[in-house]
Amino acid sequence: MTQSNQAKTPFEEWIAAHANDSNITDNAKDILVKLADKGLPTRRTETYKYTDLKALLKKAPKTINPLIDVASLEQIIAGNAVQEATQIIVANGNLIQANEAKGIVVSTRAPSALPNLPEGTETDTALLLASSLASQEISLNINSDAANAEKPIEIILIGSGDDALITNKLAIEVSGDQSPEIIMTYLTSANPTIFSFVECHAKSGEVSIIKRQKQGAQSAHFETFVMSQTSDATLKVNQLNLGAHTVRNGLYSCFNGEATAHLDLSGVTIANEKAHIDTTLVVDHAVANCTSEERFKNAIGGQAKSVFQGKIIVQPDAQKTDARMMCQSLLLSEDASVDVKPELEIFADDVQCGHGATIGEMDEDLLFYLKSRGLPEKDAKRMLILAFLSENLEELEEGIVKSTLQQDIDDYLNIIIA
Amino acid sequence: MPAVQETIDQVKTIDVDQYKYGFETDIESEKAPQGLNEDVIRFISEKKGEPEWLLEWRLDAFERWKAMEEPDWARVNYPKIDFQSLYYYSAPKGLGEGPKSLDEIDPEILKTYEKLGIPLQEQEILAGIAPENRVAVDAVFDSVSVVTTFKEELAKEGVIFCPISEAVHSHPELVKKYLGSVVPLSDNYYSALNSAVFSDGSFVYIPKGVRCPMELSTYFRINEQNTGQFERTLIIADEGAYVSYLEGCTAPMRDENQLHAAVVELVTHDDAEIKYSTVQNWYPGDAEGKGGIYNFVTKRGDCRGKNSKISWTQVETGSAITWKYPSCILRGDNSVGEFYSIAISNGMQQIDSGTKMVHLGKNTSSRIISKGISAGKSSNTYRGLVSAHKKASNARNFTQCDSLLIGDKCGAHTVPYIESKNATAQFEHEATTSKISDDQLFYCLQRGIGEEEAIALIVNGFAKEVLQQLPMEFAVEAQKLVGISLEGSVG
Repeated sequence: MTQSNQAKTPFEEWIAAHANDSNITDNAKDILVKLADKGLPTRRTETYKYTDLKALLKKAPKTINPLIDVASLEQIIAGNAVQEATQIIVANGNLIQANEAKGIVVSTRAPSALPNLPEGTETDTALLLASSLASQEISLNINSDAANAEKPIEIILIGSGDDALITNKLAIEVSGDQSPEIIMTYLTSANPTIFSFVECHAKSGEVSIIKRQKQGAQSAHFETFVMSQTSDATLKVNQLNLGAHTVRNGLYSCFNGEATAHLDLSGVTIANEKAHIDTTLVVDHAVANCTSEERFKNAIGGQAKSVFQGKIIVQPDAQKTDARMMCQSLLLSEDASVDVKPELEIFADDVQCGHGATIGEMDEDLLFYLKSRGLPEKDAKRMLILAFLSENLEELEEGIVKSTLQQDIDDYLNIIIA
Repeated sequence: MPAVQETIDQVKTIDVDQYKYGFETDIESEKAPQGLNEDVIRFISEKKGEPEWLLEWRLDAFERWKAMEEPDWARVNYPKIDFQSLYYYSAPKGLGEGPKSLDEIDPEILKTYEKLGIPLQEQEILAGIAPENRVAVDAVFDSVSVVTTFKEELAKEGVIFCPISEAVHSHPELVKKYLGSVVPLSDNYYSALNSAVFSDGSFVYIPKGVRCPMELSTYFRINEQNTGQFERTLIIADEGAYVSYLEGCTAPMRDENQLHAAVVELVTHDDAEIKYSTVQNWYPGDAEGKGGIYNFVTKRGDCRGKNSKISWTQVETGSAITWKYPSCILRGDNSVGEFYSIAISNGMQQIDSGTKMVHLGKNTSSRIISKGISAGKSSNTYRGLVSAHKKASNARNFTQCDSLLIGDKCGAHTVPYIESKNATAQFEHEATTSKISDDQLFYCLQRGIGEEEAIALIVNGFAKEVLQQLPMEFAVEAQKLVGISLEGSVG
């Protein structure tokens, strides 16, 4: 490919310049040099077919992980945190506050070397940038001493600063039989670009991880979420995308335990104006008897574009796998567009795999029904979109987290529809 | 169901890995010099006595091809092709200038078609078919068309059905107007190669308001060693016309791989319809993956007119490697595109096939039904694109692609691309992968049906949706093929 022959963008030049920074480790330097050399992925890279990162990320950042004062933190968080949750606050890549509870251990250390990368992440820019430029690696350990899911744990990840580049590196490990609810809430002020690399290892129990991406409309969000499960752990991941103008969610899962494990991935995206929201996921069934289910719903308005690329791999040994994937998109305006690529890659014969995708506009009959019963058009539309999206929250336990998420969707829809 | 019983019988009579069309015809042939350069292209053009514009067109394609890179995105693996070691033109001696009457054709060639079951005598009809269901055949042997039947009778209706090398002389205005108008010269690597060296293929023109009185068909046969076949087919259905066209292909069993890079272009004007069916049965190579045809084909239909329709039906059982995406450009308002496919891979076969439905006009609709069956150590990929452009309001698509795996050494993959730029477009896609259900198998066994027959029965049921779309002559043949391909799959 001729990527390296193309003119470098200011962002790529910034990476190249940063690779020469004397403060960074050899490991980080190595990653950055490679990245600068190859350039950011373009449409020529299959996994970025619909998201031309080189074109979307041109501007060079002014600062990286700048310092942030506590007063402005409080301002950003106000009204956005989950009530009653045990809070862990990370601002511009650094751990600020950790309210530890029994069995919940939060620690920081210098970023470690790259882990063994799962398939599809070789060109993952968020993973590479966050791994090389993170100022610290934050780990959250929930062990068997933790009280059983009494309180949700909320990690608030804040990005702030004019044209700032923010890098988060986070590792979550859950062992023991409890079923914790972990929420990652992304908030911003000004127009930062956030790159996050999150590793999650579920050793047992039922772990629920919820992302609330509520960034400002001027910011960009890149998160790569690499999960692994062993033995009979159940992992539930829910993602809410309600903000930012450019988003790439990379979700990579690998089953490597021996017994049955279940993965439940779901997402809700609402996009407006000129937002570009990409969700790319790979679910790799490497061992037998595991099940996975992926459900993604998008409501796209304005001139926004939604991208979904999902891939289920069933390796030769993964007999008795049951994997399902569904992506449904609702187009709310004439100029909205959707690109979907739900892939299956199957090497075992005794498996059940299915994928589905639908794209369409709002059902006129349903709208008419509601209008004929006296609902103003705006309310009727809102109700239908809400009904369409809320289906993906049904799997969640009733409680404060679920109601917060519902409120999040409701609030964001109000902004969009108005 | 009698058809299924027939399949079962067929499975019994044919041995494992026995490709019944694998014989070779011993015949003297005339070849172009080995390799590919401008001189070879001039040689082919001169052999066919082509006008200057066509030679220029070929040379232009060759220039573009040289600047292109061989595509590597498909899920197929094969050693690099040495394009200079191939022969790009081969014709049975004495046939260089095109088809003659049946009496003048080498009896060896006639015997070949007899063995293949292709009727070249006009009074002959396919076994079991009522006389009114006649089929006109264009038989292409290596690089030339041997004979075209029922030409006169078709001409009475105004239908032109002849080898494309003949059409260049008899209807240059039509060829000039439509050749390369659907698949441009530099569309892709193999279509550019084809444009440079294409030898023969069929040309069909159905005039305004004519419903073609019989099925048209072309039968392609590769015989010569070290040659590639580069046929070019062009079918035009003018306003309100209808034609059903069938294509069949076979090749001898050889240890080396042979290249087949065809281009098929279809054009439908207002209210016209083309139904294009293929039974692809090129030599698939042996159980170890030695030999077999590389089938790199570009097929595309352009629904240019309003209310026009193009329907592709394919049964893919042969070839070592298949790289083929019959597509529809739905340009005309209310136009319809259909794609029905069964792709069966066995042994070491690799299939990467699917379709593209490009919705450009208003109220266009398309339907994709694809069934993939993988057995042995084969790999079977469905790759498809459905897209709605900005102006394609009310576009509709329904896609269903199912895969069936037999054994645990094979792979089945689905790679659909769905792109919508219009909110009123409605796209639905669903796909499943599963193995033959134990319950279904048990049900059959319990009723005294042997395991192998039971599998053929279940697979036929699975593939029925596609088989129903085939013209009757081919449906019978295709059901047999489904049976044959699965031969030896069960332990």
